[in-house]
Amino acid sequence: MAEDFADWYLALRPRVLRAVTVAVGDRDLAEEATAEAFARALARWPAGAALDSPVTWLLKVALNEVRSRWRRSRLERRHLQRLAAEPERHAPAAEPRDDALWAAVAALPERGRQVVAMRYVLDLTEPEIAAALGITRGTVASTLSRARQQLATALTREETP
Amino acid sequence: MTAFDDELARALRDVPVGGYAPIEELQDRARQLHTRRRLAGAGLAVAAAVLVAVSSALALTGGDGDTVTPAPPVGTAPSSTPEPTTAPPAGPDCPGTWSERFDATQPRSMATPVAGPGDLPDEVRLLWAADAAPDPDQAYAMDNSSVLGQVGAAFERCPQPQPDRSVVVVQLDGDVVQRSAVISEAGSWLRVDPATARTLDADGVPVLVENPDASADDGVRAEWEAGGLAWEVQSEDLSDAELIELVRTMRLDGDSIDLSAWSVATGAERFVTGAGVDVEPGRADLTVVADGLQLTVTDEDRDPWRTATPGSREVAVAGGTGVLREVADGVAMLTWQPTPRTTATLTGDLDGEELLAIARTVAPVPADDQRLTEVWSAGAEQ
Repeated sequence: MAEDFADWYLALRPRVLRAVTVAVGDRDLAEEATAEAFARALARWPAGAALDSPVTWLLKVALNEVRSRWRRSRLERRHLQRLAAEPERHAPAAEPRDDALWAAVAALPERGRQVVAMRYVLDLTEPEIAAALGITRGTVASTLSRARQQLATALTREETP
Repeated sequence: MTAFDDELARALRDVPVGGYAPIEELQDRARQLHTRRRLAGAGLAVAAAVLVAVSSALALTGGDGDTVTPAPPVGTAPSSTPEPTTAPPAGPDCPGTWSERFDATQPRSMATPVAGPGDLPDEVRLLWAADAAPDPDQAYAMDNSSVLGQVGAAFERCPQPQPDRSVVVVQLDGDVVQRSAVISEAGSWLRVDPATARTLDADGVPVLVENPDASADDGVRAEWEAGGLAWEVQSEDLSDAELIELVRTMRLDGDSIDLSAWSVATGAERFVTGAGVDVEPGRADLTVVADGLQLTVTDEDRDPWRTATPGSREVAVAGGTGVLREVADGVAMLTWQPTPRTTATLTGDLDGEELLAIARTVAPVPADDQRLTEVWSAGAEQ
């Protein structure tokens, strides 16, 4: 059983950690929340192996963890610290594109980051995202459209249909 | 997928991420989850049987107020007056607290955006006066009903969750907070990381203390188990000796935490029981953003003293008490309860007095208030 989980973990963790990181906008919190999600899957193993969409399950558990009272207080504190440092954040700087993209991702609204993570990291369709988040497909489309516009600047190119 | 989509997907694959947890760490954590679950279940049975004794210390209990009698240890029901209506439901399939039930419902559905201000409860649809602060740039709200419904359905055969078992202890100098501590039931999930925590010994009870060096911005956080229940304390400033004294002297009287024998509580000017640490989550939360200002309102009963930290101020707002504090350099936050069932927080890069002046104008607004309707975002923002 332990070997089964180890293989499962090794196979899924790159996508899950990347998706959680984009969805949360905070690398440290994403690392903690991803580990917690996998630990909870292991705690109920082997039921985890039978999940229809384990990556989506792990992402949602990780996001719920981030929203829990314990993690959320830390997230809010970091957000406020960033808010206090806002002038510095907006100072012009010649940053590598990855850093610029990361800053743009972190600046997206929470729902925008979640949808981008599901669409571009997990490669889910809009109906699948709508089902996972419990929102309409139209909301997914409008959220995605706005996020794309905000991220286009960081990619130093215009978005083209 | 467009060319832009392909490029964005490739770029996101290159965004640096953190490290992967070693599998041994996951195995340890999974074992803790099992262990804590078993302990919680066993503790309930033990509490019902009143078999546990973790301390022989004496404490004042109810009655005529003059009699000193041995108090039941934390986590045990009073031996003479068992309270079946407030006792946690038996068995791990019926978690006793709201947070445990939410934790146990995985994965949960997500909150959904509220279509417009008119869909909000009146007591949540609040805004500052038009002449007190700039008009909002953005307003949105989330509806938590589906999540609550899902969790409720998962435990429909269970009794109502137990009342919030928490206490906030605050020492004041005038209206300025000198020290504060929040003590609450920890639930079934371990919050302190044993890999980085120190362990204190309180008369044989191990107390896990999160290393302040590892998370200095969180102050001290400690967890321990007594009488089959798990407890936690969070404070900006508690010594090891005070933590040990807390564990030794704390008692549970029904659903109330008795700290009358803890020296930190003895010297406290404010002592709030049932502070709203683990209460029924709200069904709706509103967020309004203006230039340098953010207001959030939710229909949750959470006492503002939970947010007190050294340097916070006690202020009067909306006919009650508010807690005003600087949460980051130049950023002030004020938390208060506009009604007993709602909690509001106003944050801004303003002087505390300016923020307080704005908060004092916050009041219900009609569903068609143009300052909300013109900037309302139903779903695209959160």
